[in-house]
Order: sequence, then structure tokens, then C-alpha cells
Amino acid sequence: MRIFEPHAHMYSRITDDYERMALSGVEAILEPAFWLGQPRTHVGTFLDYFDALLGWERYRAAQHGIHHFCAIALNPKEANDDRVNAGVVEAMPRYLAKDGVLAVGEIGFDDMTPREEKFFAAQLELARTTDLPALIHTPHRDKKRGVERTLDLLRDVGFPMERALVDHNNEETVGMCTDAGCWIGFSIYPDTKMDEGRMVAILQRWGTDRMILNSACDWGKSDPLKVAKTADRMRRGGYSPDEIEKVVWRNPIAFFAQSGRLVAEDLDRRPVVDGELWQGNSILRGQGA
Amino acid sequence: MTDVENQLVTLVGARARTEGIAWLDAERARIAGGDAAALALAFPAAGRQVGRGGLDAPGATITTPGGEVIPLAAWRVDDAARVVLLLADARRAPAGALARAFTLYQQGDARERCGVLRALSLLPGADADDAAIGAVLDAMRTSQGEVLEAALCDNPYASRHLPPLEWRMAALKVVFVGMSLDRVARVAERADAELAQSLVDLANEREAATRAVPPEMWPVAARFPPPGLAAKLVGYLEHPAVAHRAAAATALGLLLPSTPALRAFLTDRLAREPDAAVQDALRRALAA
Repeated sequence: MRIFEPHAHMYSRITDDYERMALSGVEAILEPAFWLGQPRTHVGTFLDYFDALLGWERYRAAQHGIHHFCAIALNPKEANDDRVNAGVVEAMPRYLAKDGVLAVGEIGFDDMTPREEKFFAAQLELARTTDLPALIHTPHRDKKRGVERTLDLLRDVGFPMERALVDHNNEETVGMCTDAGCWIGFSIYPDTKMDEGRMVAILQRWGTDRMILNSACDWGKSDPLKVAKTADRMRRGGYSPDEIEKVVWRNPIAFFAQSGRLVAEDLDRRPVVDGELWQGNSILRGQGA
Repeated sequence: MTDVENQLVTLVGARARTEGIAWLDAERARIAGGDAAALALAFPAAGRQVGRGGLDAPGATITTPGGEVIPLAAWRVDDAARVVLLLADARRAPAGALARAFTLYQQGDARERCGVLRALSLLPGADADDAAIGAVLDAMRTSQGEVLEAALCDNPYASRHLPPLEWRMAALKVVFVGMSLDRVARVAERADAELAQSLVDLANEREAATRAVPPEMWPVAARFPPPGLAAKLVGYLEHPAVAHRAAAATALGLLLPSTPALRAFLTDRLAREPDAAVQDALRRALAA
């Protein structure tokens, strides 16, 4: 089973997690930019974080045969912080031009403040001008109203629904998203948000079109193998291998391929790790002395 | 347009799709034509446009304005395209080309950084202008082998401008991570007694741990032989690996003028040596 993990905060994980994910079938990861567990006080620390997503995490992943992509954004929590918000959004265009950046995200609402709305809209505009899809966080408190306001804002600014992935859905929000026509994300967590059994029930009720599963695997109690575990639950629930692959592989690829920067066939080749051979040209010494 | 730029465009053309080739032509015309903002946008896009695979040009080389030859065996297609973009930018404004390249390095991902590092010795003023040496020093601190390699291997700019301490650490790091010391530019010219001692110390540490020793360090160490090196090299003349015997023979040739007694060991080995390349190395050593 091939897994495209479309939302994983690998910056928070140890290298062994990459190995376990690779063993569970993960061949590609998209890491959206988010909060780091505590507030940042300088724009520069955001830029160093973005550089890590583009550099070090890609390298760590490649060592385990995993393709690493990312999404760049000012997250909703820190959109409220005037020490950093405007400066980060100002620096974003240069990052959105980078190879391997497949979306603007995570953007969206957290406490649904005016500042969050302002920078959410500003970053949707950045997504539009850079021709990238948007990965959208939704609030964990007041979830239903948060998803409503998210979909309303997308409609108000005329952002194409098929280029929006609205994440962290639950039983109460999934219908709104299927009606709206956006892509529908679910973060499968050990205790909160969504679990494997509930997820399979949702798929049985709403079908598998535009459904995208992730583990989020962040700084809190979370599990980088949750997509594989949910796929296993789907299998036990009677889903065919092809239907499972649609949800955990083809759906996220179809969404992020809208960036024009993700070619599905490229995923058939392992990512290059330095020290390998180029068409027989030895980069390293090439002898076992 | 410089010969090197032309040469690289031809090599990219052999590997990239038609659209990628057209993109590169359009971008370098735009950049050289005076669009100062075009380079920063084109630079990160190069991999998407021309591809990221190996340049696949075994044996191909380019020559710097200072006359130094750079093999392209380790280059990727996007490396070559990014060097072309930087050369086009240098045609637009030769002054400050190295400083602008350094800025791109600081803002670049690993692939972009490799492109900058590989361009440095080809940019105007590279022999005299150390404005971009910060990129090499930064790359020396990375653990990403590809970036380290682009900074230190087949890169005359690093060997031209790194201060003595940093240059020695660079050479040692190349050996330490398993890349060939032969790929460090001007290694024979810049090697000194401290580097020789560090190399032999590394060899001793590896031997103590029963780990492999990189053979190409011997001729470099032999230019400033620490005590005991000759005896160690005589031992390596009997090593089962061809590369070790050949390197030991070459290094012993350097020691022969000051230690004529070594001739007997070289002659003895030559009489028994089955490998043609090692025989050659032994004959060259004896002729020294």
C-alpha cells in the first residue's frame, strides 16, 4: 500500500518516525507550516523554520526513501501576533516560488479574530497569484461555526473550492464541505479530533470522493502511523485495495498536483540522496577501499 | 555570451524537454537584457523546468576564466541551468555578480545552493573577489553531503579563497565523509604539514577501529611526511586493494629522494606486482 501523508509536522518528530512511516508504506509527505508549540517573537525565526522545511526535512525524508514537500504560510494562531504577522506574509512570495512548495498553508481560522480573517484572506490572494492550492486549518473549538466561516470566506473572495483543502473535519462539518465542493481533510489522532473507527464510518456515509486522511503528527499527543492504521481499518471494513489507495494515495496527489509542481510519475522513483551515482558517474569515491 | 555558458546550454539541451530548453533561453535573455528581478524568480524554478537528473556528461569539463578545469561528472541538469542563469546575470552587470550569487545562496534551498556553489569560480572576478566565500563556509557546516560536495569538490573558488585553517578543515572533511581528496582543487599546492599530520591521524584512528582508510590521502600526506609515514606506506604496498598499493607507491615516490633506502621496497614490490596500474605507479615512483 502506497501512502501520501498530506499533513505531517515532521519538524516535531524524531528520525525514527521517518523510518516507521516508510515501513508503513509512506512514500511522500507534505509538511504544512504551522505553529511550533510556543509563539515566535521574530520574523527571522519563521524564515529559519521555512528553510528547515525546504532543506533539512527534505533531506531527512530522502534518507528513508520518502519524498518531502511542504506548504508555506503564516498560521492562524500567530496571525494574531503583530510582532510577526505582516513581516511573515511579506516574505512569503520568495518561499512560494520554491521547488517542492505545493500549497499555501496552513492558513485559516483558529479563534476567528479579525486579524485571522485579514491574513487568511491575504494568503488566499497569495495562493491565487502564485497559482497554488490552499491547505486550510479549522478551529478545534467552535468547529462547526469555524468551518462555516471558512467556506463563507472562500465564497466571498471567490477562491475556487476545488483548490481548497479544508482540514480537521468531523461528523458535524463533513456535509458542509461535501456540499461546498472543496476537498475534505481529516486528522486522525489518538484521542481527539477523529479516530480510525469514526473515520471509516464517515467514509461509509459520505463516500471517498475528495476525502483526504492525515496523521498531522505534531508536537502534541499524535501518531505518525495513523493513516496506515486507518487504511487497515478500511480494509477490515471491507474496502478494496483500490478504494483504499484512492483515499491514501491518489486523492492527495490529485489535490496537490493542482500546484503544477507535483508529477505523479516522479513519485515512482526514490528521491535522490547525495552520495548516489548519476548514470554511473561516481559522486563519491566509488571504491570500497 | 561566454563559451562556458554556451557549453552548458548545449549540455542542458541534451537532457531537458523542449519546453525546458525554451524556458532557459527565454530566462537568460530576460536576465542578461536587464531585468534585475528575473534571476530571483527563475533560480528556484530551474529544477521544475529543466529537470533534476544527472547531467550525464561523463568526461565533460569546463574551464574557468583563470584556466582551471572543472569536471562535470557530479553535476545535475538543474545545476547547469542555474549556472547559466548566473552567467547571464553576470553579463548584465559583471560588478557584484559574486555578491548577488551569495544572496541567492542564503535564500536558496539545497538544490539552489549547489547551483550557486558550482557557479562561483566561473563568475567575473572569481580569482580576486572573495565576496561569496561565506557560501562555502556555510556549506562546510551542513550535513547535506550534496551541498558540501558542491562547495569543496571540483570547486576552484573554495581552494582559492578559503583561509589556511578553513581550507585544511575543508580538505579533512572531504576525506572524512568519504569523498575523494583528489577532487579538492589545488590540493597539492595548498597542502601543508598540519594537513598531512591530520590526515595521518585520521588514518591511524580508522586503522585502530579496523575501518577503511581513504588511499588518496597518502600522496598528499607524503608532501609533508610525519614521522613513521614511510614505514606505514611500505606496509600499504602489500595491501590487497589495488587503490591502496597504487597510492602508497605514488606517495613513496615522493619520499624516495630524501629516503633512498625505500627503493629496495619499491623494486621488490614491482617484481611481484600483478596489477598494471600499480606497476605503472611503482615505475613512476622509481623514476623520481
